[in-house]
Amino acid sequence: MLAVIGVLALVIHFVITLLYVSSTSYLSQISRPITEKYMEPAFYQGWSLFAPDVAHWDCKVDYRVMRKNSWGSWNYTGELPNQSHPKIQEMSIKVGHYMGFLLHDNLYEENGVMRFDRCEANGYYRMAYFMAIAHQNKIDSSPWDSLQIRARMIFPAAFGTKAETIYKNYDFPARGATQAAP
Amino acid sequence: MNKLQEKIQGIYLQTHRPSSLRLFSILLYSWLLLYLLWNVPVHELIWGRSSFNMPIVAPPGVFQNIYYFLVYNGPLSKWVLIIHGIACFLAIFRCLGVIPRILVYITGAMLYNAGYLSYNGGYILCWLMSFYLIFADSRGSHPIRNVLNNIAITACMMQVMLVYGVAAWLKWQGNTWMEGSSVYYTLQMEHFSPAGIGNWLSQFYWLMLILNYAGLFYQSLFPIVVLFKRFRTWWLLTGLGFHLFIIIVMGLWDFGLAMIISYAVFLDEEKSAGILKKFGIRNNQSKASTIRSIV
Repeated sequence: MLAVIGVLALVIHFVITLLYVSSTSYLSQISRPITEKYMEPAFYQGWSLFAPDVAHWDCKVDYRVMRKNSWGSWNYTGELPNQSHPKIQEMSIKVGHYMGFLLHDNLYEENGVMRFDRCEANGYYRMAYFMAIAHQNKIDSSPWDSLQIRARMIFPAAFGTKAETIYKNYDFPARGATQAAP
Repeated sequence: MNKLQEKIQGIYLQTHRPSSLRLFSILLYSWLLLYLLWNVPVHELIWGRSSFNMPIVAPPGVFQNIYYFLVYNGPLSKWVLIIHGIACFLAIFRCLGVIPRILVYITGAMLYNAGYLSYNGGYILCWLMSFYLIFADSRGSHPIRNVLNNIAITACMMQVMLVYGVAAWLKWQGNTWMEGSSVYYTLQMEHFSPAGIGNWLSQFYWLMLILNYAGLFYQSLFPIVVLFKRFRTWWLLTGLGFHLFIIIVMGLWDFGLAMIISYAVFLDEEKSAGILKKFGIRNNQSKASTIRSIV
């Protein structure tokens, strides 16, 4: 009896897991409210692992701060002056990865001007903003007036071509120190 | 019908692969301990007051908030780290029964939720399997113990198969995987080509195509091929090469090592016993269980 219960529990657990992780399927989407309740946070998982598509770009998150009406230099969030550890870069890379997709999906042009409002409304921008503040506090905790995020995009040559690598910066609007991240 | 009955009886009559279970749990808890030690120098940046991780909004409820405890209690992170480390150490040596194994899982969830940016799939896999291992202890011989052991090891196997199966299924829906450019674009990212080897390799068009499709087919076929004992060893050896490539060229040592460790659940009992013996580790499964299985 115990063996049967055990096997049943195992089957049910993996059926729910499968429904939860196969996020693009119809069954997964309709069962989401139930599967989420069971899976999060106790069995949280996602196995995209470079799927469905690998980004065609590399994106790094930089920022700068303004003090007394003067902008400082750009800082890369993946490096700290007095501390070196791969995890620092890894955290920054992850945010950069999200930012790349954020720009890809939400950046638009209106009357020849780049519009970042849709990007700024997204949680990933807030993540980058938070990281930039934490980074700044780590290197210089003196008060600042404004902070500006830059997404530094690198587009490698398309696969199978010998085109040049393209470097492009996307500077988000500056935000005042008193303004919370949107 | 008799066969099914025999199979069900087999679940509680004996722990099928005690040495594999023992070897796997040693490797898994060692990986979690190693990963923790690797993160200790930057614990302030991951979980502490100067964390780079924006706090996530935890859902209401006491039960859920155990998992999110560190999100709002960053200064206590060092205590959670210490408990997690000690629990991993005790779990490796099977001390204090089930308590360290429960603590590894709970504190592991706390650490993940508060420092999610610094984690990848390798950690998630090991953390999930640490849950299944809560129920496993290869020393027991009681029928309940046997059922739990067999269920736990099967759950770990199914989890690994699910990782490969789902990753492959999602990849079949992507353009870059279909056109063969995924490995190329991955290696173009500075982070995934730390020593520059990947970037150098990416100039070889055919190599990129071969690696792309080989990876895709390996992941797609893993959940099926690994079930056949005849092909299993060779399949796992191929996977070892695949993950060593990820470790050496892409620098993802934590993820690659976690996947290699997970292969231990698929190892034959004789091979696992041989490895344990080589390192002088005894898996003192009770004689009663062995006798019962012979009878």
